[in-house]
Amino acid sequence: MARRRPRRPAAARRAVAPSRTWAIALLAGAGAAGGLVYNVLSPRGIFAPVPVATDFGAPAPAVPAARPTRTPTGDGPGDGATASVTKTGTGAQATPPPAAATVRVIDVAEAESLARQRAAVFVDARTPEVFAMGHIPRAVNVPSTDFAGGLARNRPRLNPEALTVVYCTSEECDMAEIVMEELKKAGFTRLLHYKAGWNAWENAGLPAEK
Amino acid sequence: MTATVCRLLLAGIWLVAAAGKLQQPKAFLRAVVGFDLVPGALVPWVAATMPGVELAMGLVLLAAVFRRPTGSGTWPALADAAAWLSFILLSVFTVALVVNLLRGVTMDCGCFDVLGEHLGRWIPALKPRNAGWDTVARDLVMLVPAALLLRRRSSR
Repeated sequence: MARRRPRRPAAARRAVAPSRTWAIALLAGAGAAGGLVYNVLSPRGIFAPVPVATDFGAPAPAVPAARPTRTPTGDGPGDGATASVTKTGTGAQATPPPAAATVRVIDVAEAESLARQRAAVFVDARTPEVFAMGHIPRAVNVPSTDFAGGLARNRPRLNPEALTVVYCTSEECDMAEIVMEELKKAGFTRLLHYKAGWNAWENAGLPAEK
Repeated sequence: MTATVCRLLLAGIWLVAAAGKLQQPKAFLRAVVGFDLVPGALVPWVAATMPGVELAMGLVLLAAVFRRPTGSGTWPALADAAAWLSFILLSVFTVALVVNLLRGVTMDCGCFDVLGEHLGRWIPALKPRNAGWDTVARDLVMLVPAALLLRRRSSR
């Protein structure tokens, strides 16, 4: 192969080219440093503080009964959509009662409304370690890996008759579905699936509780 | 050229992976926690640095497509390092995934599978899901271009 540059003495060539190990270490180090700087500086970075909910939502209203809503505070049986009228507006239409087998999916706007108005109990299906890093305010942790334990620990707050919203990380994980199946077997009938999960809640900048 | 194709593929993988993690750094932190393999004190360091390393590898590999690393010197050494680091990290990820699958640890590592999210709209099979043995298969496939790059001598 034709050389375009004049030959350099062998020693100088070796000195110019770093050894493989050094090159790998340098590349990894540079990348790592960049990643670290990004996380330190970015408001989304892992070191950025979690917006903690000091007072998320109104004091608990009366237990939502079956009466049709004059203000969108609660929900009738199977009609959890009215609560989101005040917010960004998605999902603000009434929905038919869910079939016994399928659980209705709600979006982040509706989940926020329900949480803000304390109209539902939120169940976090993720592992305890990740739950502790941040969850929807007043959510209880019933991990998909320890349903019996989670249910037992949170019995006082879990009522099969109450509206219960289950969520996990995102649309891709199935922990919420696993927990919902178990909850159905345990007699919970008013379930909602907040499918977008914790990732969407966090991306929306909504407050967390630790 | 095999090398160009391999570099493009790997660059694509790393850049997309990095983009997902840089968009949702806290989600990646939770994924590292969920993996339950990194000791607690190191978790934030791994979560903070990994996206940067992936970005660095992706950029170098992409640049190597346009500016071929020939001869010896800093640039070929860097391009070579990117290929080696790719192979090493892909191997580590695959081993970690296999270990966790055997341990029965629940993970959901699809949350920053940005490419899968977009492609999954047309090809449901590519939609991100909980990590499973099919993810292992996908990772093993990704090792192929990395391995092919390693067979080259840096003087080309």
